[in-house]
Amino acid sequence: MNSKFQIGAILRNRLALAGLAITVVVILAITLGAALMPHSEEDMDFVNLLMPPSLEHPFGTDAFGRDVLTRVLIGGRMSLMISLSAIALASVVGTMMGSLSAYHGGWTDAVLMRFSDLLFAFPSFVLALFLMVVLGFGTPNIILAIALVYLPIFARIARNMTMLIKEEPYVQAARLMGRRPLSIIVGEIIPNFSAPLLVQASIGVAFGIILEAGLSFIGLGVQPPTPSLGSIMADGREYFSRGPWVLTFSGLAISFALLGLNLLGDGIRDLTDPRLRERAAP
Amino acid sequence: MSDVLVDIRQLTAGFRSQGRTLGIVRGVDLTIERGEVLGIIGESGSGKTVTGLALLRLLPENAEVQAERMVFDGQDLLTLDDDGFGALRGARLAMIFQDPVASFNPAKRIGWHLHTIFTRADEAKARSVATPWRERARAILHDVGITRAEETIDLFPHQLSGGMLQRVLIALILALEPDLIVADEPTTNLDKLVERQVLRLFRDLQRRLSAAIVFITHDMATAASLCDRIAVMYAGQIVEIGRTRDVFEAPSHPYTQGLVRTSLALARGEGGRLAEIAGELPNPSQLPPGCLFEPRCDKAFGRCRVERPEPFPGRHGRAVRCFLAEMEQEPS
Amino acid sequence: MSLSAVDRFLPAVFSGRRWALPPTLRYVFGRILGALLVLLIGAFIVFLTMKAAPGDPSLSALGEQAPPEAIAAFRLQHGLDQPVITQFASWLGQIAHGDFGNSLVVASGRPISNLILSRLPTTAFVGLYALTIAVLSSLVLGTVAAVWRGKMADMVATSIAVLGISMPDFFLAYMLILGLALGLGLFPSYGFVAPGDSLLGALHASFLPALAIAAPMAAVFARTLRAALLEVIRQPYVTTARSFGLSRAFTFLHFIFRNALIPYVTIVGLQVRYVLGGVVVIERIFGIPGIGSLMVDAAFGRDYPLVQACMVTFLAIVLLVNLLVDIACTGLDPRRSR
Repeated sequence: MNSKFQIGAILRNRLALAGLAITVVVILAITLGAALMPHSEEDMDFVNLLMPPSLEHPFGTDAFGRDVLTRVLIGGRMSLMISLSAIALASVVGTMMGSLSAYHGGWTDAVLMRFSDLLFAFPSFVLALFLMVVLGFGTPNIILAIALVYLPIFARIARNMTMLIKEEPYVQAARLMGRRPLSIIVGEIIPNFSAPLLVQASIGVAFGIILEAGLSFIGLGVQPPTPSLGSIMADGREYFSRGPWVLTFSGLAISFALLGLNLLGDGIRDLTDPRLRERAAP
Repeated sequence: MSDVLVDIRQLTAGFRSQGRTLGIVRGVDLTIERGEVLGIIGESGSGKTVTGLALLRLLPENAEVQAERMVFDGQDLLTLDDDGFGALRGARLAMIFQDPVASFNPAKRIGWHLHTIFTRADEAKARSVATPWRERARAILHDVGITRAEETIDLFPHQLSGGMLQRVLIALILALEPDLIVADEPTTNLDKLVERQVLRLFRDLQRRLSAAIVFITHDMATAASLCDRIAVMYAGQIVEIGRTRDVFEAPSHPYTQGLVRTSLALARGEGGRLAEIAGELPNPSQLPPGCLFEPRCDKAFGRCRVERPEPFPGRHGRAVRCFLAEMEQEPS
Repeated sequence: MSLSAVDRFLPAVFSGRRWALPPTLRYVFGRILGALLVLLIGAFIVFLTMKAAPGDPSLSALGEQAPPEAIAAFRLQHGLDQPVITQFASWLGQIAHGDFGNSLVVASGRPISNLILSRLPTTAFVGLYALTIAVLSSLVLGTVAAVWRGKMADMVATSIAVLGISMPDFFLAYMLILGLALGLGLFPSYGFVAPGDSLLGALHASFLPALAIAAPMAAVFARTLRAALLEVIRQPYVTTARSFGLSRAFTFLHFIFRNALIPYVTIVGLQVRYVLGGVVVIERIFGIPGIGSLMVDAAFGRDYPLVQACMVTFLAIVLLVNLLVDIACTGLDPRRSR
């Protein structure tokens, strides 16, 4: 192994560590931090409208005099909640769909995979927008829309992995012993590709946050006054030239969280994918 | 001008990994004469390929290569910079690799490869050739026994078989007209019939270019049919070197004796496995303190376990790394 | 996207004597037919989904207080009383004639095909502009990172790439506005100049939106190129090239870069989906009159036929780009042509 590659490997692990640290900080901030904040996200202070960052308000105040930091923390909790729920839904349903489809094969499999191909062909944001129109605006529907956009990705991974694993001797043995397909899939097959699922889920949560923020930003997602990272940024763009800190700090917060999730995803992939690890050695 | 083309003393090579260097080649001494065919024989992992790559400075970046002396045709290779070495490669030094399919640029046609090599050869020889390249390509493909040359020129590498590609590779080398060719198991991936044809081509190649060839192989019979001299490598060292006849008829090192026995058994159609030498190569990070072959040697005795033998010279340039050879010779 | 099911049945159609086309042409034809088939199915699914949407399009067009007679007349006029499959068939028949029907809410009464055709060049311009920026910068970043891997330049390029992926494009858009438009005054923060009026003006006016769309893509492209280059550098044919004494520049260009281009172009093709996704929000921020802002307007106005048409247009663009990338890859990789 090359010494240069080693620096890369250590650094990559360090980056993964940094990703984990950032993610932990973000989660602590939006749970404990938000609870400890002296302001409430709805407290308006008409004396301090649109104040630049200060010790009292580290991220400044918005046009209603609300503390932006508090709103970002509460909004971050909302955004993460939406994205986590969506990805949880997408991963469970998508994985089951993909695994069952691959396990049984036949025309159901062909139709399902063509359908997921088709969903893949739409730009994800456009698809989410379309689904919002069809489902109607509102928070539960954002979750559903993001889940539907991300579902084919999980289905695809699950299908490909199941295709490989279902021919393994231990799966064949389980089948011969008369175990039910669902029990084999859940007990024997899915645990064997939990690592790529985890990588995809971690990247997926980041992706879900971006989708939510985008939808809310153009006004089709979480509706004001409920704060989410996207709706705070949407507020901030109204008076961007007078008080750029609202949008800037909420945007930096979202970027920070995404950086953590992306680094974490990359890190898990490096650690768990033996093919990639080998690839690092020339 | 001396007859020695290449002179190497104490070549060592290894790969850096996790802060340590794993030695692969451990002190190889080698002289190659002009126009001779030298066979290097050894099992995989014995360091024969790394020796060949080190000779052309083609090892990857994480390799560490050292030598007391490395001279090619009077030119000191140790002090030569990378650009200077690059000028030697393809002009005076060339290499043929084990996997002909992987040796070609998959995105380019056979004709492109030939054209590129003609340009390189003309540049190296500082000449300009009036013949159109397609004509030269046709001629040289004919020389290596490709009858449908015209069609072959327009094909992509993946459309040709391994044997055909190895012929094309030989044609490329033929166009380069080097003085030294390192051939790394060029027939290993080919079937028996094609192997024989390619070996014949090698003999032609050597005769036409009067180039020296270092023929790396794990197959005794192949080496015997082609080489003037043979060097047997074990665990990164040359354990025996000498004229092909001498080595075959009177193998002196126990390892060589084993190899010859195996190859004879194979030729008689007996199961090769039975005659093979038991055991495996020593782990590079846990070398035995004495002779590197001692753990597998059926003739080892006390001294072999504590002291590492040096090459013991014999007649006609023979050298054997074994205390037994030394003892047999000493009384006379 | 994989259309293997389509592939499997199409060559059979073309393998008859009457269709003695050269294999490459047959392949391209097969691809085009496959894409059209996917477009058709996609359009049908969009249509069906739209039908399932809550709310009555006649109400959103005429207002909640519309008299029942007006609604009935509207439904009759737009064929909303017909069965779904009949509605789809007539809709499809209209589309085949380039007629998407009329917009119900946004630009009321205007033919949708007119709207889309007038907006399409704008989106195409901004999209291609962004793609060009992304490709050019990723070629530099990816090559630098691969050639000087493990060194400072690689760290910098890789860091830029990770940051690029982590910044949502609409946030980046505002940071660019803050720095380059409001701060330095180098570019306008709003508005669009048609390239037909002034190409330079258009390039200048659309620089920030294009850059905002390009940055995350450039990051992905650069990472792909870096990985592909490092993979190819390890291939035996690169060692062979070195053993021939070919110059470093020649080896890099014709052996390494040339072969790394194949996965690179594939990824570029796949990313076009994200470009188009980015276009929607970015067009809105910069007030660019493209398909993206049209679709957002339609979504807000619940202008169902227009939303439908925009979806089909986006699908068509993606399929077209996939097709082009596929053909390009077949040209780049001789192993793929049959």
